[in-house]
Amino acid sequence: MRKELSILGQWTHTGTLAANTEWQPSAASGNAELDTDELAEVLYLEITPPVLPDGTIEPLEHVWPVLDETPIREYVNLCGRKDALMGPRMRHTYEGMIVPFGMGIVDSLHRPNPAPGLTATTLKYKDKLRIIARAGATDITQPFTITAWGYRYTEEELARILSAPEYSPVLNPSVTINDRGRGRVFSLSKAPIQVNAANWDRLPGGAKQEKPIIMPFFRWSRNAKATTVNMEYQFRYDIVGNVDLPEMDLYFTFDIKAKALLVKGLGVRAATNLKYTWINLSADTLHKEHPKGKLLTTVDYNPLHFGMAYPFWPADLPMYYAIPRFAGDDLLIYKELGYIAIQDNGTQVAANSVYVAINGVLFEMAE
Amino acid sequence: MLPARFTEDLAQMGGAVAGGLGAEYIKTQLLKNVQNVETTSLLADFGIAAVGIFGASQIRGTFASLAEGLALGALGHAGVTLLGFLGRAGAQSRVFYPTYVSSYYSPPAVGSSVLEI
Repeated sequence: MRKELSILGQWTHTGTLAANTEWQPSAASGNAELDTDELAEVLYLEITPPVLPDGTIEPLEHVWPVLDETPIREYVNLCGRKDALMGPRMRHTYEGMIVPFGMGIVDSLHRPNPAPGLTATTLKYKDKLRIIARAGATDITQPFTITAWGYRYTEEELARILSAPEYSPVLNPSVTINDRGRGRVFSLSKAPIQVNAANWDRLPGGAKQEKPIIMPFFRWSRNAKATTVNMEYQFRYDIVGNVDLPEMDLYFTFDIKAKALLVKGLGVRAATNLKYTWINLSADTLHKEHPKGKLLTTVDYNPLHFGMAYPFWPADLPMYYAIPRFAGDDLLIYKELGYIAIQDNGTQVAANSVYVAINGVLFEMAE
Repeated sequence: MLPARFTEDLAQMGGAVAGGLGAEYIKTQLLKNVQNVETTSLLADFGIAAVGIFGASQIRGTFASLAEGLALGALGHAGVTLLGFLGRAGAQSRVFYPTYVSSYYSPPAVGSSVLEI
């Protein structure tokens, strides 16, 4: 077999996790340690959220993977709450669709794929994997489980697979994105990397990359304050009280930072009085709001709905929606200020009622 | 006038056809909304066969042959159902494989290293 989708680690928490505290189980406790000559890549994190017997959702609010003892919470911050779940069980997702961290290395290097830097963004490690789970504002009393799915290989096995003529054993991470409508090109140049054990964690998705860095980007946020009537609400960490943690910041100051984000998906769980959701690009001379005219997202009509399928399906149905594809195409935030915004319908949206989630690929260039 | 034996054979054949037809009608029409339709149909087949066998034991002549045929037809239908069970028991089970959101990680077009957005 070229690849075997398998469980790379599984951690179950029982007992109480106090509010605003983190649970950091070891890799060994989740059976997530590799043998000496093994390599692995995480495709997907599956989260079984904590729920009280009466259906009350408990606040498993942050799940962060740690690759070879390197936390990557600034790149991957998954929501583990049942309602805004970003890692539902694969069997419980609508139409079986999940949003993985990337394509596996074997698939990414199958010819022809001239831009594996954009696809080979699974989370790569070669020693151990663990997770950090953080509780929200109240205690978690019910058990929850986090399962890492992915592929693991021995170095010899992977070398044999990639030696076949239909594969390339060298990954060229250079990326060029041509944003024709806005007349600009994003180019990232990086030397080709031989795919082997020594370079495994320097590949896209690895924690030991030198700049430029290519990582999958998954982040969620929530409006910590009520909206101001008819004004856009920005999920900014630098405005006190707008979001709770820096890992929830959806205000990308890429006009002053050497970073770029290729947005692939945007999701929102609407709340009462929410009307619009959009991505704002400050340097866009055509229209700053994307999609143009903003996107109508209300409790009755929400094309960006993600997480628990309720209220569009019965509440007792264990079905979830993946983060929807944004506007049918990718959106590039580069050399500009870009941010996610929401707006109410003339009446305030209550604090802590709207959840947004975004996913894509983040590029960090050398300064 | 046909020989009695020939008449009885014809009656038996007719009964078999009727038995099979009846069993199939029960399965496809009367039981179509039943959850375990095949198991229930199997029970119906054996029921028809039992009626036929009982009838054959109680009466004589052409009608007994008809009843025998009914039983044979129903049991033949049961045999087909059981063959289906055996076939499925030997087949590989279907395994669920997650599919990915199709356009999320599409590479650039063939021959091009540039992602057009």
